[in-house]
Amino acid sequence: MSLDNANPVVYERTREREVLPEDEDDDIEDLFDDREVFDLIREINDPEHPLTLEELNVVDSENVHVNDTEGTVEVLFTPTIPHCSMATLIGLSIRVKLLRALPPRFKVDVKIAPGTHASEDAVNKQLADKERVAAALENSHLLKVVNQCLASKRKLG
Amino acid sequence: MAASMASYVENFISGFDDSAAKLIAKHLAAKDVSWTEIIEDLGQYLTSPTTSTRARATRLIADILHYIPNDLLTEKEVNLLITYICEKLKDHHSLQPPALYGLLALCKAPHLSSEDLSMVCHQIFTEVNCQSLAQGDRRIVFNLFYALLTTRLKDVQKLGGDFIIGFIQMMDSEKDPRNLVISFACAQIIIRNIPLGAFKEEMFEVVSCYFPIDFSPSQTDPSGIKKEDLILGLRACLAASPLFAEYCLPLLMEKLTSELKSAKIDALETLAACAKTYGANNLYEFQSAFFSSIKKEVFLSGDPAVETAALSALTSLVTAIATGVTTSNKRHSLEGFVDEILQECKNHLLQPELMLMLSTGRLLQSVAMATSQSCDQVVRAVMPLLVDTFNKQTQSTPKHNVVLVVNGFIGVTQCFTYSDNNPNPILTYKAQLVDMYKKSLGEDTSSIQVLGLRGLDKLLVLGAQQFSPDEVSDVAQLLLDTITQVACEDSVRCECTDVLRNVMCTNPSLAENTVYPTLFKLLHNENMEVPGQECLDRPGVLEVIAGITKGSHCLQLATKEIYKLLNNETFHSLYPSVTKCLARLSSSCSSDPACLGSLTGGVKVIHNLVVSRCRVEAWYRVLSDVEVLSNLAEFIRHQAAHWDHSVSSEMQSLFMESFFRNVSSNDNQDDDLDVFKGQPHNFCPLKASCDTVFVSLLTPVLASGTKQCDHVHFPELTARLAGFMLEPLDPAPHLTVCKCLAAIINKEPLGKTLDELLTSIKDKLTSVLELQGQGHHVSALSWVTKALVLRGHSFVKDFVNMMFNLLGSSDLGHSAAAGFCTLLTDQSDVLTSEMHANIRIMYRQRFFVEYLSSIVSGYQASGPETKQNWLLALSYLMQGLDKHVLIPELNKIYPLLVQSLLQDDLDLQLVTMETLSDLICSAPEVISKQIDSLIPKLLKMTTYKPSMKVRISALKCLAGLCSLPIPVLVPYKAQVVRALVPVLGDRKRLVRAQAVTARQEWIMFDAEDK
Repeated sequence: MSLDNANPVVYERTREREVLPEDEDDDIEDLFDDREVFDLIREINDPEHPLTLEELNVVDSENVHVNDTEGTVEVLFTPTIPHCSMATLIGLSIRVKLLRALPPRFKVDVKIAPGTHASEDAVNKQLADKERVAAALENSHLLKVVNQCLASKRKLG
Repeated sequence: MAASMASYVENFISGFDDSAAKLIAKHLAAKDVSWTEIIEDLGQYLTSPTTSTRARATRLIADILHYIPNDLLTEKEVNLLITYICEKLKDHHSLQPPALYGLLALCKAPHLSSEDLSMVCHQIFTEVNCQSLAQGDRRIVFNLFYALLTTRLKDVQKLGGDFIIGFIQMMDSEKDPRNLVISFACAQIIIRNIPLGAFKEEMFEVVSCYFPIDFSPSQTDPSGIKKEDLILGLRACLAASPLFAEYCLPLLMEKLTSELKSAKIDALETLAACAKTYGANNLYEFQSAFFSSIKKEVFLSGDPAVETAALSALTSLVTAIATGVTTSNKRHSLEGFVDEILQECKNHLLQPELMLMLSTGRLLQSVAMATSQSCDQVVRAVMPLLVDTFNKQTQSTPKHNVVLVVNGFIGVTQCFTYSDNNPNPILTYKAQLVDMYKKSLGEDTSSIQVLGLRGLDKLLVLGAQQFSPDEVSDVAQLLLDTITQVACEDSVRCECTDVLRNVMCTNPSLAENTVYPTLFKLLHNENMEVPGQECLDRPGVLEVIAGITKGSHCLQLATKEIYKLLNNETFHSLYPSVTKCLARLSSSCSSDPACLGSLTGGVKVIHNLVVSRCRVEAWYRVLSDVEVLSNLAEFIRHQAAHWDHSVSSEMQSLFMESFFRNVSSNDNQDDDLDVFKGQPHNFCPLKASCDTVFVSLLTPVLASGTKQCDHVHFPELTARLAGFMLEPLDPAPHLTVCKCLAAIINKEPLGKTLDELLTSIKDKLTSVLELQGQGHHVSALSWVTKALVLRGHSFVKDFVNMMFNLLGSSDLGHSAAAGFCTLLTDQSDVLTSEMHANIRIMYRQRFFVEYLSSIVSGYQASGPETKQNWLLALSYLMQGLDKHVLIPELNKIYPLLVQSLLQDDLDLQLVTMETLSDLICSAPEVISKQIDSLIPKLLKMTTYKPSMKVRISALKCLAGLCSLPIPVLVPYKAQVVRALVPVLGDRKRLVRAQAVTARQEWIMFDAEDK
């Protein structure tokens, strides 16, 4: 097995979101915010390393933008190296995770952060094409790999 | 007699009566008949031309042999029988199984001569073709060999190679797991004890062909053989002899590259097991190859199970290499091997921001863990690198990683013992490390600070004698500075407290001269309360004092000052913190007998305080505060559990005397009651002889120790408490009275006094509850019942029935259901085993078994408005119950659980879902049967508007269901996944998060990740 990047830089994980009194108040409605969507994707496993996307800084909270009223979510992710061959798979994993975890009213965009990957446009195009994403998920081998990325760490142990 | 024998025999042969063998064996053992007679009776059958009759006759002999005591036969008889039965092996093949069965019995006979033993083996090896026998008959053969190997090893050893080759032929191509477990056990004994000579490769082949074990027992398999049994059996064979090294090591090498996770782990664990027996000489050739495979697994697998196996294999490998004879060839030495490892990976330590840093740390730590020489070599190579790297870093994550790895190495050195001549290698770097830890304490990130403190703690313990008083006091000052900074995070302060406590234990003068004076000064410093302060506030200081105090010396220093604070009016506002500090000190120190003196002193201080100051309103206000009282009670409670009888008596009479002081002169109980009910603002100091303050403090004094009070006024006290219990007091004092009385009733010895007390309580309760019962009566009832249920008193039934009657009442039913919560929930302050309460073993289970049917029938008979009381009582009944008691009754309970989910009672729904969650884990087979009714109800509750807690619980239950077997879940997958979509958009974020988890589990439960 050869890796694109055998010994990547590891970043610190963000602390768990604090639960505030208003979060436990039945009468207050909580809007979707950047942090909530970031929490959904930060635990996704990297396809190559035993680390999460957050630990590799592939996703970070600065690059998640949510607008609850308009119903839009934009996620920009940063491959660890510009030639990373896993970029599409990572993007697909993020997409599938959000597809499963967000209410259908949201329009979700998953893109590579500008200027961080050699074939940025091609990957973005693939990720934006709904039919291609749907077709990719019909492929049982690919689905298995995506599910491994999305499996919670506890279970793997 | 002979005639009856003949008829037994005949019945057996014709297949009517299998019990004949047992009867004949009995007669043989009693010497009523002889073998000759039996063989004569059998004669015609043994020589019958019909094969099945001959087989049946042989079977009878075999059965008889198994039934008689095994020392009954003489050597001659054994010889005759063996010769005869061995002949039967040559007869028709269907006679072999009974003949083998007979031989098995004979091989266990103590009078078996070694010639006969050798004959049995030879005959079996020549006549029996094991592979063509049925599984059960093959097992007889293996059991026979196992019996010989375990009881007659010396005689078997004489057979040497013949036995080995014979056994190999028998074992060859065995497939049944039950037989394999026995044959692995035989093989292991053979390999260890009989020289394998020319057959070593054959022997290796016949066992190693099963490696790695791939076996998944079916759930209905009655034999109960687990994969683990086979793995361990086989591993013991492979690790039994160094002669196997040349064959086994290449095999393990090959399996290490397997794609299959379980094979990889098995290979690593087998390597760990074999390394020691194989020895250094056999391993040199493979050490580098194994190391690079292990390194690959640690760096890349990301699977904790594989990594653990790999690291422990590496430790064993290095340990084995270390046993090698020292030679001039550096490649074939421990030093050379460790050097090679260090060269290959120490560079990763220089880049602590990268992923492999931590893995490399773990890898080198397992090398160090092998022997003290390897530890020394690794530590000396890496410590300078690590310290240097730390000093070069500016970012926090890399620093964090360095400290983590350094701490790991300090931990490893603790596995070895060192002396002055052979000091711990870590101490060479003492100064640099202390410097590094000090720097990490100065970092902004709390995780580094915590790690730094942990390392510092370990280092101080390791090198206790190596630190000069100045160095220690320097460190202590730094810790004090950190701990008293208001910005210091809780986790850091907590860690700091631990270090400081340990430092003071080894340096008592430090406590006396530096630590406590500094902290006391802060306590008395009024300026502390200024807003915008940099320094810890006074409650915080008190918490620190409670945390760092350990041992009688420190306790004495601390309590001396704190008792003074208790008598100081200016500290009234701090009383909750001061008393909390006392409670913590008592909890942590009272198990140390040397500390009890300082602590009992405190009880007298408190008593004096209450008696002398309570009549002043300002003092009463402070002392009657619920928090202060419960802290003081806790302070007394912990130490009282350790008091000896004389201290107990002293304290009990001290408190009882003051309790009754005014009664004799004043004897006006109505006034007492008024005072008791009274609020502090209409406090009437002169009339106080009994009140909530006193009862709160009296309870721990009377009811925490092993000694029951024998004070002259004691009966009067219990009678008065029993009276107060029925009065409409405020809830807090009422609870205090109930607890005190319950604790007394629980410990009161059986006898007339107790019976009279209980009868009077019962009569009073019955009459008030019939007329104008109120909530506090019910709660009084439940406390008394609790005291009785715990000890299993004979009055329990009457009291429990009173509670059951109340459940059906429309106005008191809900209180009665809550009473069941009191009854079955463990308390922390009274009626606990630490407080020496009289607790019958398994009282909860007994209660459940005894009263479950009453609840179920009560529920069925009750009207719609009281049904939920019964359900609530049931839910308390089940909480914390052992599943073995619960599961047999589940068919009765389950319909009630479903009803509970449908009730519009928040508590009931929540408790029920908690029970369901437990059941999903503990009794999956029961829940699986009911899943059809359960899923729709849970899904409905995920959108239950009024309460987010219900929605969250329901989602947790749904997620929990995913641990059930996949085939049970599959039919509901689409339905659940679809139904959870709207919940993803719930208005509460916490619900959404749970919905995401639940939905994810349902989407993925059948993904192949196992």
